[in-house]
Amino acid sequence: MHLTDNEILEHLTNSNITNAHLEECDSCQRRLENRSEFRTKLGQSYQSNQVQLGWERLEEEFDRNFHGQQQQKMESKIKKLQLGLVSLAACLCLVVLIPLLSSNKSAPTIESELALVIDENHQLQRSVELSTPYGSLQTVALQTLRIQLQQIDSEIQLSYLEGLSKSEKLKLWQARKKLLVNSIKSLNSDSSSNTKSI
Amino acid sequence: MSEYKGFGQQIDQSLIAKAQTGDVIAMETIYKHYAKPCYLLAMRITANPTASQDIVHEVFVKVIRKVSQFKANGNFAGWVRQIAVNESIDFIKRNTRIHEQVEFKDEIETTGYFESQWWDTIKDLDKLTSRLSDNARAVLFLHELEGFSHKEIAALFGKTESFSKQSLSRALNQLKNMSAIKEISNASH
Repeated sequence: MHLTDNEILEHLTNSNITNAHLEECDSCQRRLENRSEFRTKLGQSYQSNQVQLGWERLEEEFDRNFHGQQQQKMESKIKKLQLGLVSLAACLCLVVLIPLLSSNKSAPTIESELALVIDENHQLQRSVELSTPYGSLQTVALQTLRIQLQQIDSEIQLSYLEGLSKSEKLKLWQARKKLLVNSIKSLNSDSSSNTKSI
Repeated sequence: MSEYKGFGQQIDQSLIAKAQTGDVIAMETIYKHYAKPCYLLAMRITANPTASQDIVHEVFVKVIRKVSQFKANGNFAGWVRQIAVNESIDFIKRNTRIHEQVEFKDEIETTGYFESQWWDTIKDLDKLTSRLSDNARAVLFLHELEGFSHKEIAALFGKTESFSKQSLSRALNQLKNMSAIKEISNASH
């Protein structure tokens, strides 16, 4: 059976299909050669067409495109640089502002704490001064307290003179408060035991 | 314009590299090498001189815009040719009438296209091919001259292989019939 036109048309792109038959069929070989001739004839079509092709219009496109690309690259670099600078500025702001903010945040706390503890110290000392000692033990205890208070007061004064930090001053005031609280507790326990013994 | 050699001529790699860096002379040289092959390809597919000139322009606008993306180890002529084919097919798709887009379902097996050299009597093959339907002409040149397979043509048109095969058969049938009519008409004169 002879090759169909489709098989002849596919011969050059898919030669395996038709090779076996073509080897023994002169008629199909001729058809294949004719097809090849047809392709040659087809290949001559439009060859004689003379056309003026203008580069000028494209040259503008080329300039626009290439310089546009360069400009885009430059703009992108500038944008990157700007972004980098903004990021750097933001980092610097964070580095500078965070400690400031945190110190601002903690400053009122220490100050208020300090004011509070000083006030408590005054109140506690007033209550100690108003108390009347019962017996010699309490008198000695009060005297000891006064001496201890003098010592801690001189430390507190020194901290103010030397310009120590607020937290250190706070520690001294808290120590003074603790001393007063403990003394008052011990004085109260002594007076209650005295009352019981009476 | 340089001597015509079609897409078979390869240009120097350094020329492409220069064009990629914005060398206008290099790009003009590339244009001079490939503008006519592009025009010829567009003419064969569209049979429309004005459209073909526009297609060549569009092809080189794309070449200019994308030349920087072209990889050095690629086939530059093949790349330009593929752009030209795509542009030409796009033109056909935009301008083909709806009834031409209907696909045939049956494939008719024939054995008559190459029994004789019926094309020998045709003096002006350009004229006859220009009378073919857009799809039939495009498939004829893509398959027979540009070496595209039916599968590749089908992909270009977004259709089935059957469409490509039928369009090619249709083109050959019409050409053969037209040549016979012309022969009769010449004989009668």
